[in-house]
Amino acid sequence: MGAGASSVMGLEGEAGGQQTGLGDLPESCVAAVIVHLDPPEICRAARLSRTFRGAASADLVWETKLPSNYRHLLALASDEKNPHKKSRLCKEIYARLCRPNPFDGGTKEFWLDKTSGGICLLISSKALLITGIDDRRYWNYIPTEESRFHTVAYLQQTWWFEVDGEIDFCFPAGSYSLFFRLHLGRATKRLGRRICITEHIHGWDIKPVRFQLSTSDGHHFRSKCYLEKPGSWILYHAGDFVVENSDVSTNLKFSMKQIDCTHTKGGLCVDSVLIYPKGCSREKVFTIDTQT
Amino acid sequence: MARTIKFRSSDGEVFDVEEAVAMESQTMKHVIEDDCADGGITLYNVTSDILVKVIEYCKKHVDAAVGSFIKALGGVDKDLESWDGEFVNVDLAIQVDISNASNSLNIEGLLDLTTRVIADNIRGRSHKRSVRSSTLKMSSRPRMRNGFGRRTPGRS
Repeated sequence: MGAGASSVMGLEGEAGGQQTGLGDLPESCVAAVIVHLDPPEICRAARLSRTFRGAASADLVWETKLPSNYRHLLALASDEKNPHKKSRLCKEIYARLCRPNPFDGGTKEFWLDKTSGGICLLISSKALLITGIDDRRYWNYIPTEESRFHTVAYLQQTWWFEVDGEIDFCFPAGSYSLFFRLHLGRATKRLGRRICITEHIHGWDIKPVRFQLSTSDGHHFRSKCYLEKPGSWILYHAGDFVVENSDVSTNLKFSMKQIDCTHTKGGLCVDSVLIYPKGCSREKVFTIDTQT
Repeated sequence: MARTIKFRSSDGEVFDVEEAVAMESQTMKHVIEDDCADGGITLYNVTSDILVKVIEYCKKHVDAAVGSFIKALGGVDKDLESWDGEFVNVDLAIQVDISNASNSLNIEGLLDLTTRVIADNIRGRSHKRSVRSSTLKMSSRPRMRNGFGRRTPGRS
């Protein structure tokens, strides 16, 4: 724009020589301006002046940022703790939904993504159907600081590797991606430093792991990938889906398998399944060859 | 012959505006429908240079709507959009004044247009610049102190 920072809010000039600035907008106008900004930008704009601060707390601004099914999400978030207080400000509801909200006995979490307005969902390994999980010769749950659920499922070795999951959730309309968060090797701490025990890692370079995702509106996504890079948590992209209607529950069935029984495989930590708005993930992501 | 309404700006200039153009403002629409516009309407908070711009916008949109099949079908008029873009390609000070005027005159399209442009201006400014600008004195015009007198009805 070329206008200096000082001219944005309005200069205090001599009588008759004043220039209009943002400081001359009434609160209702300011609210109409900041409604076009993202939530983080609204919070930054709130620091500009008292008028901006007032407008930045207005319900009419924050209601436009809430997903259309926010009442349902709030009820879900409140089930775990005390029943939610009535007559909350929209800004408070927004802040509440942006925090990780556990549900289903703490085996799943959801939160609102501030930039895209979509939902991020985390499903822990305890909510997944892992073939052979009860047999301690093959699988164990191990405690770890590196998982949001503080536990991961560790595979020592097996012939039949299969992890299935299913979820019903009312996602706000938009595009989403589903990932499996995996780690080759077992991370531990020795003398305060992180080390990775790789002795059990084997079998992943022989045949790829196959990922599958199906949605309730009939879409199927199939892909395959070799698991690589021991020592790091990797998000393996299993598929994408689109939600048209946020009032209708979307059913997702997803799985990853390596069931070629000519060889064993092991040394893998399975943390969780993540669902993020498309384009939103922050960790290392592996894209996969899709099968036709 | 189309009926015209006399509008007087805060600095005393008088404008003859066609009724259809004046009705773009919801506030003026109610005044006209209540038959309170016969003696002319004085706009105490809109200067002549801003009123000229507001009238120009309303006239353009009224003319564009007449006989526009696109608008009747709910479509988007690209030429009008392009004109709107040029219309708000002005200094921030004028954008703020037009936004203020469209807010008090309740011209939805113009308010939306100007607030979007002002939001684009704010977006991406670094926090440092915003904090520096927030310590600056507000304009000393008494009517804008803390937005008093301009609050949304019903807000405490």
